[in-house]
Amino acid sequence: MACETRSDRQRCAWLAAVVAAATALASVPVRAADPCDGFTWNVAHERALFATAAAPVTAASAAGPAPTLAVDKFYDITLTPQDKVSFVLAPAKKALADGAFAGMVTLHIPSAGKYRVAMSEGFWIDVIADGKFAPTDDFTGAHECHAPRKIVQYLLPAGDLTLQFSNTNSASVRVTVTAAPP
Amino acid sequence: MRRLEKIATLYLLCGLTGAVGSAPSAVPIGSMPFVNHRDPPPYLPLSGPVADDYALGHAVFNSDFLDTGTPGAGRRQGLGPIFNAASCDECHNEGAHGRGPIFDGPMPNSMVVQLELPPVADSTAPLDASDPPGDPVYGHVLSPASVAGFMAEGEVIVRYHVIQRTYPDGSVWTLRQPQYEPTHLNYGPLAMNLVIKPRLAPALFGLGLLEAVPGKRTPGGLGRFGWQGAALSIRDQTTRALAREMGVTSKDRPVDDCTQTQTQCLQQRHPETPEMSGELLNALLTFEKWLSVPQNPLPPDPAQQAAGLKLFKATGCSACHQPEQAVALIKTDGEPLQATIEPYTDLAAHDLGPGLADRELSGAVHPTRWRTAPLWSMGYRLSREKYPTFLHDGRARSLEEAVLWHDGEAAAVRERFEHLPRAQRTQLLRFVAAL
Repeated sequence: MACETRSDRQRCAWLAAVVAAATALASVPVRAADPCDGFTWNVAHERALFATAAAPVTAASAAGPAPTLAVDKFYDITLTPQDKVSFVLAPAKKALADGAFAGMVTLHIPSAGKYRVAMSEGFWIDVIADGKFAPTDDFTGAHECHAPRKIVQYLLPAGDLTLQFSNTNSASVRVTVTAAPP
Repeated sequence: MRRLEKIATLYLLCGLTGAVGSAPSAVPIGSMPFVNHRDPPPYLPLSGPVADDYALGHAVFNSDFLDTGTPGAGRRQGLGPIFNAASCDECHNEGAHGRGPIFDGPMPNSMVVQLELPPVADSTAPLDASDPPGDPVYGHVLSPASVAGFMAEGEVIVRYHVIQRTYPDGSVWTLRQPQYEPTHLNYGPLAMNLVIKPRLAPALFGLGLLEAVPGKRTPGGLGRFGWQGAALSIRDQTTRALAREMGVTSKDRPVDDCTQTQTQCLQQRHPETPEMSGELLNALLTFEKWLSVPQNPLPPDPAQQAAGLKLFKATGCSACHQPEQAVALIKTDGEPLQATIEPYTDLAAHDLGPGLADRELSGAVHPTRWRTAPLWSMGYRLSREKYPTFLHDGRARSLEEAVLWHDGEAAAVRERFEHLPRAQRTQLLRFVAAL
């Protein structure tokens, strides 16, 4: 490319900067990876809760009474083989459920707002309010991290809601529910 | 039943029932309202076994695969042992575009880092341009994850440098230039002449329609799928991604991305027994083939779109982002259907200059051609993503930045865009954003 016209000179200067930046890359040192570094959100609060002792809970396998999770607590939830679970609503995500585990808990939300559900495994989760799926607001995850592995953010009304787990082959899952940072 | 009636009404509104026979449909097909994004509709009404396969394929697409031998894993066995993602859906959420990097840091899950070994200059060995060789140790993809008991290969950190320039009218624009740093490499160093090819998961909407565009091939005689048009068909692209990015083998690709030096990985090879059965693969391909293109949920003003299209053409964007293509389809009842689609691509590969080209680890530019990215479903995408990123590696944070990265064959078009008055630049970008 000739660098004769004004626009060509601009482009040449820009490309020179690009090449210099890319060349510098070869000498960058290797660093050790933390598998929980991959989150695009600030997950310090979730990480701190996951470092505490988890309260054991057994999820319900049918509509009706279910154990209640409170905000800012850490739980270790035991689940049931999915083919033995009767969901309140069929999971919103269609997936093969071979060997999957599932279950339901009640989520006590003190005031309406954005909340995050963080999990140690990559379960599909649905929050059900007034017989409908609550809308998800966003999600993030880190493959090799299990404290947590996946976080989903919801816009939730106040009250006792249903949280459904499905579609993953783990008989238990550790969970926190936290208010999303403003 | 009510849902079936609703779907039938939608297809009628889209003018499909009259689009039978040899004359192309006056109303472009393929675009459908996505009432529930977790229930993406096909672009034509399906029935019988094809409808069943579409539903099963959607479930396969969404399913997390598991390590071979996981108790009770059934049809979902075969993940890894090294992999980038455990399901198709993890990168292409319900068929949608993946999420690119927002800040400096590890590459997000919905990006894959492909590796390519450039040909030796005096080599006489024939080169398969649709599938060039990968790294002799790491293979075609750098896998950041592994099943229990195996070592992941490593990961790539991206760091951005801001480039600032001005339009001829004096307004400032910025781009972020990525640097890719392979790190935590568990199998030794990479070759300095290795080409690092970060690729953001593209949307899969309308793939079957793109496949039905007759006769089109890139100048290199290659395919039409993937960022560079390297894959010859949906089947080729899908089985390649299954094997190399999920470690799930199929009849078409009976081995995954283990190399001869990865002895532990090689012990998992069972080429005689594909990890994904023919039934599930066919269902997955059926889902991908019939998946429609989501309409913009906020329909734009037709007059503004018409004016935007005029500007789009006058600026020269439509030379490559061709608004329409003719397609020759076969409906599920065997009846032929000639129609048009509006993908905004010529399906051809173009040189977009060294700024966008892949690079070797040494920094040397690797000549790269890019298949013109389809622009359809942009309105849907922008309605769903908080931080959309564009181009093959998500470096562009806006459509404007994506345009400004165009160089090479598209340099003159970009310069025309830069010289437009600000109001017209905005009009053109709004037009694309509403497609």
